[in-house]
Amino acid sequence: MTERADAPPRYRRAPGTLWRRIFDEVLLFPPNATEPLSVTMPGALVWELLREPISLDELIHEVASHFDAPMEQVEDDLEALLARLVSEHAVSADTT
Amino acid sequence: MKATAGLEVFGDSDVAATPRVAAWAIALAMFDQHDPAGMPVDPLGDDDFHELVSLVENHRLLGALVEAVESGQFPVSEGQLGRIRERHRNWSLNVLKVERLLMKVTDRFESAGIEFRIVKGVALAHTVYDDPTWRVFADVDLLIRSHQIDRAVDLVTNSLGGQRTVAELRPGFDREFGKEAMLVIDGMELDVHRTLVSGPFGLTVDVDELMAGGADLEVGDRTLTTLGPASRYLSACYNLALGDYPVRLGAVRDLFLIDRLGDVDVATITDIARRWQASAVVCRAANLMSELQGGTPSPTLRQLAELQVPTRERVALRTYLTPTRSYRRQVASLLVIPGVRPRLRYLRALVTPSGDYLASRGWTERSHVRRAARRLAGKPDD
Repeated sequence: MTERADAPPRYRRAPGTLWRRIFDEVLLFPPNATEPLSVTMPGALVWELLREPISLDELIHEVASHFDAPMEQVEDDLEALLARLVSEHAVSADTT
Repeated sequence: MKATAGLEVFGDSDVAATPRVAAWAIALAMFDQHDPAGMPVDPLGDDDFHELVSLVENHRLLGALVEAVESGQFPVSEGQLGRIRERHRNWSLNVLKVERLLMKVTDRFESAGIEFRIVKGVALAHTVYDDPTWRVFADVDLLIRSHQIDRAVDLVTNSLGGQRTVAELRPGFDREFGKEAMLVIDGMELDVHRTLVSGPFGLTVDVDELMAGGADLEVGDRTLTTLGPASRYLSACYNLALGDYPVRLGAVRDLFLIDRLGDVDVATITDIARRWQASAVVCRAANLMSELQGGTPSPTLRQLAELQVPTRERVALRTYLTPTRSYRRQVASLLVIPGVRPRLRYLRALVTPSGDYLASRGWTERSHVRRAARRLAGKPDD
């Protein structure tokens, strides 16, 4: 068992993903996608935070603080959002 | 705003614009978050608002409205915010596809050793605007050296499925005299430019000097190259002064923001303009800005507005400022083409264009000559 295997993934924007912010929404266009995908509120904030590698816990903390919302309330949403963005290759998850 | 400037800004397509809506559009072109002027105090009535949205879209100024709304300087109702969001979203979806096309084309050009500079919309959005989302655009514009333009067009047509919208006037014309080759790829427009504008002022641009140096531009994960500061300033002047007639407010905003960067000095711009025989271009752009800003332009623009313009350039400039400008400025190009043989080649291309060119325009030789004669005489088309 190594520390590396247990390290929580850190998420960041996938290289080559083009994007535009529309107020609090963000449109993402990963390199191999055929159409841009939309991430509505808090999309713009999440995308801004993903500029640098960030863990899910850190992301939850930042978003909850920004919207003054309970962490449990944003956790499920962010988990689902990150899973979607990773599967669409808009975000990369680094476990090293 | 002076009436003369207004007349040069708003054309037939904007004829429905009421003066107060036109004034807001002009204020948006010069919008500064730290010094907002001319913004409404309360949300506009819905009729005025819809008119304004149409106007700013037509003038490629929607991003400025978004910036003003986001900064809280332009109050809107919930419904109006929804309308802006929807229009901005539509534009941005297209902007992303245009940037994807840019990636594809520049990747091929780099592999083929074709040197380029990204100009206009994409480049300005990422280098001049505080947020790229505040500059919308609809096409890719690349500047290429003359000797590589044929190869660039071949590459786009043969390996990327691009199609020219209009065939070359005659073989070799683009390389020697043309402004650009316009191509369509996957429904999007790619303009491969050889110079900044068509006609006499385009032919006297020193493209090597225009492309010299350059500045980095980050798009996605790529670092590409755009024009350096002085070239960018001059390019914005050409675009405002000669690009569209009547002028587009998007070009006003571009020059306003570039000028605000303060990264060029008047002596450099003046010297290049004199050597490129473009004092009239810079002077006209600076005067337009001055008039639209109510006579309070930046010190740089104030000095450029007072440039001495040679008579020959004044004559050439007039050919750009009429509805029939395309033919007149083509003829006026003869004034600046050096040497008898090149002039004859140019004249021959104008008078007897290739069959491909006529077919792409849907013209016959006879209709081409008749149309040119009518336009040169200042008469409308049949």
